Amino acid sequence: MLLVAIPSQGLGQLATLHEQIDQSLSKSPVWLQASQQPDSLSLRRLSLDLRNIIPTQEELDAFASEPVEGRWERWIDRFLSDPLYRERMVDWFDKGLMQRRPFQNVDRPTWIRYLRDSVDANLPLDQMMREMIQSAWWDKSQRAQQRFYLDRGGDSHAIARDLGRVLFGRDMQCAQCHDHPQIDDYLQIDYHGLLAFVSAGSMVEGKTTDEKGAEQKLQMYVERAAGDAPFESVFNKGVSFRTASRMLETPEKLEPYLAPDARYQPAAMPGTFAGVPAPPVSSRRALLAAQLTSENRAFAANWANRIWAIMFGRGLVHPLDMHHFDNPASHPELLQQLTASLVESKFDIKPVLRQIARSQAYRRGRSTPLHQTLDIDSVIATNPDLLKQWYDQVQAELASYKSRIEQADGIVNAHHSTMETASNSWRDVQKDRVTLRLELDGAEAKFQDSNKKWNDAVAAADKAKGAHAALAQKIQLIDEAAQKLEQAKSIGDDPEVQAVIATTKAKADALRPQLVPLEQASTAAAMTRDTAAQTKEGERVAWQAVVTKLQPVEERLLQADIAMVQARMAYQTARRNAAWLREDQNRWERLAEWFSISAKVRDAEAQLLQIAESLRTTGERIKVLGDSMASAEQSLATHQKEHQEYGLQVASKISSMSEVVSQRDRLSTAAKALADASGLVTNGGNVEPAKQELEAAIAARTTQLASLETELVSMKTQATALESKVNAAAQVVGKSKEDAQAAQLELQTITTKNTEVQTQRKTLREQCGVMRAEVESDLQAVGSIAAERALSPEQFGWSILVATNVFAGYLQNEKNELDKNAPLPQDAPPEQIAARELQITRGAIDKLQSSVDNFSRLYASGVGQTADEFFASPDQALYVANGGAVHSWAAPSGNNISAKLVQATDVQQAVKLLVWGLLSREPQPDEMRLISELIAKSGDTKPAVVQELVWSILAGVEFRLYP
Amino acid sequence: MKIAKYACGSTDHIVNRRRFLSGVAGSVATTGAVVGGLGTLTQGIAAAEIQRRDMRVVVFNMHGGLSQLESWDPKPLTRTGGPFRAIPTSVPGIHVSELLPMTAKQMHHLCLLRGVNTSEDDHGKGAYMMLTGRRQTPSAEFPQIGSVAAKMLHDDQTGLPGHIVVTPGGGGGRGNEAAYLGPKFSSIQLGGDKPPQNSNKPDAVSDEAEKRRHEIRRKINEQFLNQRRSAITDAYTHSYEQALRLMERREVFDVSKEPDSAKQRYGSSDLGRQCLMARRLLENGVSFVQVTHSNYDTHNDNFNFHIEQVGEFDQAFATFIDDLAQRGMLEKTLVVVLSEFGRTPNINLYYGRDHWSKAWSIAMAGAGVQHGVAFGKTNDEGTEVIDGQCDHGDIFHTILRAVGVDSSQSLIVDGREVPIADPAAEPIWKVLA
Repeated sequence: MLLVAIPSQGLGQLATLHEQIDQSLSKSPVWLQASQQPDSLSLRRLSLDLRNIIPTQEELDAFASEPVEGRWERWIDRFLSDPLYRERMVDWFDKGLMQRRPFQNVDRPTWIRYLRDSVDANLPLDQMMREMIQSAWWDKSQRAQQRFYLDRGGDSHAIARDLGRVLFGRDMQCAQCHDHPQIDDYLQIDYHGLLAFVSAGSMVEGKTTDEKGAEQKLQMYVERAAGDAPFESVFNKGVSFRTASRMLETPEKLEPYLAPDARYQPAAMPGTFAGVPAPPVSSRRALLAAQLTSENRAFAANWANRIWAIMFGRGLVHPLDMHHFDNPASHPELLQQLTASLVESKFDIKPVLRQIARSQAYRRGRSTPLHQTLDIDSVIATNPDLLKQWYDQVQAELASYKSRIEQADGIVNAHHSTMETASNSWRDVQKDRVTLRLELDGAEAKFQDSNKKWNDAVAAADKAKGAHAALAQKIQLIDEAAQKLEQAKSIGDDPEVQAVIATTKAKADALRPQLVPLEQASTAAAMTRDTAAQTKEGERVAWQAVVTKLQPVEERLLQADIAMVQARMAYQTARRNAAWLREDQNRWERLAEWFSISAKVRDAEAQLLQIAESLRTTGERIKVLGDSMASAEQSLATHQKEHQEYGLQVASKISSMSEVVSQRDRLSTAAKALADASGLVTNGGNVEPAKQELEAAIAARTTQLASLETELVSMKTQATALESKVNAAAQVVGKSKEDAQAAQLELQTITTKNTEVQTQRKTLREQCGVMRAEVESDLQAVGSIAAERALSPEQFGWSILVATNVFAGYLQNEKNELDKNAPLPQDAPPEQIAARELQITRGAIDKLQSSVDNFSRLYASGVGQTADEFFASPDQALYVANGGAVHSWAAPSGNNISAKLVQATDVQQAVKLLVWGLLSREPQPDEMRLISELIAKSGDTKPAVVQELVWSILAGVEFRLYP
Repeated sequence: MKIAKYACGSTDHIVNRRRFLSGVAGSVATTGAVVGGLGTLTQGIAAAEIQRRDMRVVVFNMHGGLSQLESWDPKPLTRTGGPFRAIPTSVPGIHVSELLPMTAKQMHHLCLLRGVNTSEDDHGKGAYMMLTGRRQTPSAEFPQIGSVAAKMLHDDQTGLPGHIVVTPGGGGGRGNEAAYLGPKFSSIQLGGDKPPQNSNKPDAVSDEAEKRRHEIRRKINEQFLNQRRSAITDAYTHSYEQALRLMERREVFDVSKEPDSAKQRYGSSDLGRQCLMARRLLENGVSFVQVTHSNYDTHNDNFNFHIEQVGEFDQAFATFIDDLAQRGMLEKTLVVVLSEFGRTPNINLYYGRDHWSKAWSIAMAGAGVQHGVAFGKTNDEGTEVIDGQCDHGDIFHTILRAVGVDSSQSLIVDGREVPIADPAAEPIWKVLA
């Protein structure tokens, strides 16, 4: 029953797929889309994707010299018909199906041979998967097809998990014990429904012989007759469910109930194995295989997504194992178109790859107009107006989401309740079923028991009958012997013969009575057997009765199931739509955030510039203030000194005044004394002259004093003047000090602000870097720019072998060998030539495989991973640096790139050759300078330097990454 | 045309970015699909948890199943005890087998767990359980303790790998123990006392040429990085610098640099050399070292075999513990001696002991576990645990706790939360200091 048709726009989808891709991947504004990268780099990408190697120098030259018109398409076809494309597909199937699991039960040559044969036969993908699922485990020639099971150790849980991952892109591991806790879309019943397809498998050892006839033991993953899978959630103990096999998005596959003794083929299949159990009548594996068709949407979409990932390095749904409604495809409509195209091509991968490669989007580089406008450090916007315009555009986009999401959520809710109702009715019927199934289990146990008893009784009856028959035969033989002897007696009566006859007869007679109990026993055993048979048939009828009761219940269950699945599908679609809207809104939001953070960074930068300016001016002002303060202080000092010195003069003036005063006082005292003494000396000597002398002296002193006084007064005025000068100067100094302090304070504030804004800027820049990486990631996710991809371990290894011409050397050797041993006729038809080329390529690959295995060992993710996640570790680097191989491959030898470089006389030519041959592009000016200088000055050591150069590029980061 | 640079590009930044992403991973239903994803992107480690770089773990893997009765839990003079005596140790009251005379003197550093019950008698499964702390299930792989320790404890700047397994023979290359943590945390395997593979430049390359070629490599890279820089390019170029640092530090792996006296103390056995190597590695910043002592699977002639094997172990191990203690390293180093299981108390017809996981012992020392204690108890004949029972899950938690790792936390792997230790078990709090 086809519940879900592939949404198809009719045939012809495939032919225009490349246009649809470009349509889908060009929906975002042009300024978010990267332009195409240089053609030679696109060729490198194409070569890696389709052949696992970088293009050779010869190919690059040929490509470059071709007219551009139609060139790209021609080279797509050229690569797609290259023997290495087939090997690429072999590698893709190998990693995709087996996830680097070790070879345990199937050896590598057998496996690789099978993959090569499948690719050579262009086996459609769906057919290949069907082979893998239902190949005959009893057939020794189908070991490789069985490897999916065998090298997962035949563990049904491991197999079920990987069936989910590989076939349907759903890792439902966590849904084993309960509905998936984080992914609402994965239900326990999905897991157990899938598990039921393979749960009846087990590993059995079979014996056979190898080519040399020696005994060989082989593990087989045999299929048993299956029942259903009871399960209960660890979160909801006691509520038990039963499911037979069921495919995602389809109801349970109800199978006819086969009586317990009619579930296996009557005999083992004719095959090469000894001791192989007979296969079941109804094969669940066949049932699973039958559903791996274009009508199975999950299956087809999963493979479409994986094929997309070959070319774009990531799925439209990504990670590849995470198809669920909260992880919608980046371009849902494109995934549908891609799926329809794959179906249209009848699961032939090649035309789909061709279409993807033809798209413009496939050749995108990494730099968008946005990148060019908003520079590295998010500081300089070369065109702020443009940026503003874009920002407005982002905001306008964002504004539309709220209502769209609300609407989508409304639809989700509506579908959710429908789904709940449907799933509740299904649960109700499940209850009836589980009850009846338990009853059936009881009936079956009884039947099995009676069947066993019947088997035993049959054996016992056969045995008893046999015992009776054996004795009867024995007696008959003895009787016959006696008769013969009687005949002998008639020839001549010999007493000895007589005796023998008697003995013989006696023997028979002695045995005869024993016949009776044996016959009785036999009859009894036969009766027991018949009773057992009756009982068994009775149990069969009872079992059948339960089955009859079950049938209407299961019919109801199926109806409920169909309704539930339909409701669930509708719900899934609604939820996927809502999730896509949210995802897209998130992308716009991150872009908006990046814009706004980068604007903040720019603000901070501008602020810092301003701050730097005020720091400068304030600094200068402080310097000026400092200068003027110094001069004020100097003038203050001068004035102070002047004032001080003048003070000394005043003091000395005052002191000479007081000297005069004291002289005058002494003279006055003397005069008074003289006056007093003149009364005593009346007639005696003349005192007058002395008196006059004294008075004159006094008068002189008084005059002197008066003049001194006048002088002092004027001096004091002078001193006061000087003092006020000092005060004025001190004031100037005080003022200067205040100014300087104020300026210092200002400086401090600005400095603090500076530190603050710088810290802010640092944080903002970090945020900006993180946001920018987020935006880059978004742009990659929607294919607006090329995804950042590292070469797979195998691509890396093979590309190094190609770059150093080691691979070419091996090809040549293979060719020479074949030409010698089995030369092609001159007029060999093209198919024969192509077959020879394929043979040569595979011969070289097989011989070099161990060299590439060294890379796989170091660079690959562990066993069981879906994709090779990039990681870098020192042991990888140590291998490339010191392992010997890479360095020695880089040595000039034969006609390899190093040898060409050594021979080249024109240094610039040599550099071009080096960069072209190893990196598929023209050298850049800096590179040209650096490398040509190295070569030019190498002198005698040129071969060594060339070797180091080649090694350096191989060990360099550009070589490790996709262009 | 100038393409934007990826932020500042320092290693710190990578860490920052990842922490940041761990913050958003919860809100957006992404599934670890991150640009430039650094290997398997495992997130959700709090910043503080990253800073535990000076703690170390050493595991002695006693391959094949060491007999607890001839080592940590002797039962002399009983039906099951075998011929050996028990001897007193440096901790009064704790006795060990007389086959461990030197270790007995280090008992004050040790912490014995005598109540281990793992209920798994298969070599492979038992080893898996002891090293991952979980039972093996077909549909999920869990990382071994070494990978977890390297992830949680190791500092890349040392230039040495964080997870080293020393095997007596062969070795070389990378192990596959890291499961979802990604190959970066798988072990580098060392054969005996030889340095890692390819850690010496090829003979054909002169010293001068060696310098020159890396110089050229850097310059050529630089030009590329000016235009295109990301977490991936940083990780890739960094791995080469790490490789060079490892080469510079190659002498770390050279046990012959040790004085003869040291070699004598450790003994002339392979294990002695491994222990010396382990000590050198730990001293130089390696976070996790596993040494293997093989083979204890003594279904025949158990006693003679243990005299020989345990004798070798005793000298090397006791010296190792003593050395770590003397050098002050024991406080920061957790030493664990484990096997896949113990051996039957019952002695079989061939004087052997068979696989026994119901009641056996392991030993620990250093870091955050108590010292000088014996935790847990078996009955008189050693056939049952009667006190302090624990299993592989509890032990795994305890190891992490002892070196400061919150064992209840989860990592986010591809959008799924994966608890780093079995959530059904928990640390043995009583033995944690």
